[in-house]
Amino acid sequence: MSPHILLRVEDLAKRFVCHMQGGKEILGFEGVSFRLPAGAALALTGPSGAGKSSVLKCIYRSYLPGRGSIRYRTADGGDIDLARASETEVLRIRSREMGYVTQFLHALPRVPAVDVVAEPLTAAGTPPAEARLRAQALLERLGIDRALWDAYPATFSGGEKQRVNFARAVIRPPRLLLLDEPTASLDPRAMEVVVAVLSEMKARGTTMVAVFHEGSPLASLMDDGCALPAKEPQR
Amino acid sequence: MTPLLAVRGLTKRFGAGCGECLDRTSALRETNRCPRCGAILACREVSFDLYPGEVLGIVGESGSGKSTVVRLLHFDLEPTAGEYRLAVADAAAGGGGRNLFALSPFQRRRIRNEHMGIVYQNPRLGLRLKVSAGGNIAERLLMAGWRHVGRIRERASELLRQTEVPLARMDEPPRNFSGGMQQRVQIAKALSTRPALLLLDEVTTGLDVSVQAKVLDLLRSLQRELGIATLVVSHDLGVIRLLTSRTIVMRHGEIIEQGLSDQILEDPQHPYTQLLVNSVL
Repeated sequence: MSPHILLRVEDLAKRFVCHMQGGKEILGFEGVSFRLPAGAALALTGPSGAGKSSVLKCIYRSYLPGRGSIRYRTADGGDIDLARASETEVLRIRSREMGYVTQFLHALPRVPAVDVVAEPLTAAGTPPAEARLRAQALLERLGIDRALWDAYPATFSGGEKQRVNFARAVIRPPRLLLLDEPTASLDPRAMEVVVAVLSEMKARGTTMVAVFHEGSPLASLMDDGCALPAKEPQR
Repeated sequence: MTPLLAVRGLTKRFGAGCGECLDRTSALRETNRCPRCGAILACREVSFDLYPGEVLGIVGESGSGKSTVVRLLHFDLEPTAGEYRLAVADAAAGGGGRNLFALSPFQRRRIRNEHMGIVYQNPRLGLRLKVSAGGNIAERLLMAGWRHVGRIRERASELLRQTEVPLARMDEPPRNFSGGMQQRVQIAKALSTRPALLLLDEVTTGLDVSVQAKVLDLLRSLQRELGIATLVVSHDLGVIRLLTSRTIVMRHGEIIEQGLSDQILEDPQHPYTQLLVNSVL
């Protein structure tokens, strides 16, 4: 893999086998290939159900990829296939280099918003007081009401949860950021801030793979696209 | 990275065995009972690594062998076969990378007292319910070689504070305590010697949901502060999701699947794991 490429996905495919339904096979996606230079942003496009989120989950390894490879250039110059890497290797890369913003917040229960956001910093060794200050500053910037900082995100609105989720993923800017509709339930003002934060991160070198709806302002950040074809109807 | 703990081929058979037990039982054959001689293979050929600071889950239904694995690792049971290495224990046991199962009972006890902590589902197994909470912790520290009474008492109160047991109740026997508080005393006792390895065997099973939540929150915050390598055995996928980063799924004494915990929950591969994930209420 040439050194300026950070991520190279080749002929990636994912199938689900539902054993509870007699081994029924469901196609997630197939034949996905792209290469992404360091610092660039790529949009995964395609009709609803084409498997865009599944591609992100395969890169993050929440899904086990089937066929194909996901070659990733690590910070220390290594070349690793995330589709085959050991769990321990994936965990190491996740904690140091890779971020993932989902559409939905699966926040840890009974943890105040500010601590949800600060945790990636404290886990990396930042003193808790400083981590909380930085988390508060980010929540402030994203327009989360001060009164909510010490509340549990489980009680938040969709848009608030999404911003907490986003803040947690970017507070320690990763080398590779996976974005799955990070602005889906945000109002235009909050969306603007998210785009501004992402564009600052991009300027500092973060590479991105994103899924978003047509017309999203995230499109302005993208350098390239990968179109997933609609799937043949299955019988 | 070198694993802290390495287990290879861990097998426990209850019963004399007939030489064909391993061939006649397995997850695939849907039984851990040898049809020929009636022996039970509580766990068979279990192998895994645990890395420093890592929290690994073992999930499975009752009878899957997950608790047997923990008890073998704590030397509560004798294995039928297998190897067990603990990176920190080498120096204490006087042998680099030796199989702990091959050591004398005395050496094993010493390794257990100095390097392991365990919390059982049933506080009766982990605590002497008629001895004071502080006394339970003191006893553990004495076994690990602590001698200074003042320091033992200081450490005991520090641990009870950490585990949110009111200090006023330090001299009361745990039999007077609620189930949740008994578990917290067990946790305090397990952590007292700053073990390298923490074993949690269904620690929240049987507690009220609100008490479960408190015990889990406590374990999470201790995990963040102390970073002790931990094995979490549970039948509850919620506990696994909350505490672990990697998970092993066991059935009929055998490992049938292992992976990142979020992958096990979102994209389970084995039919049994799919059933387990789809059975969550």
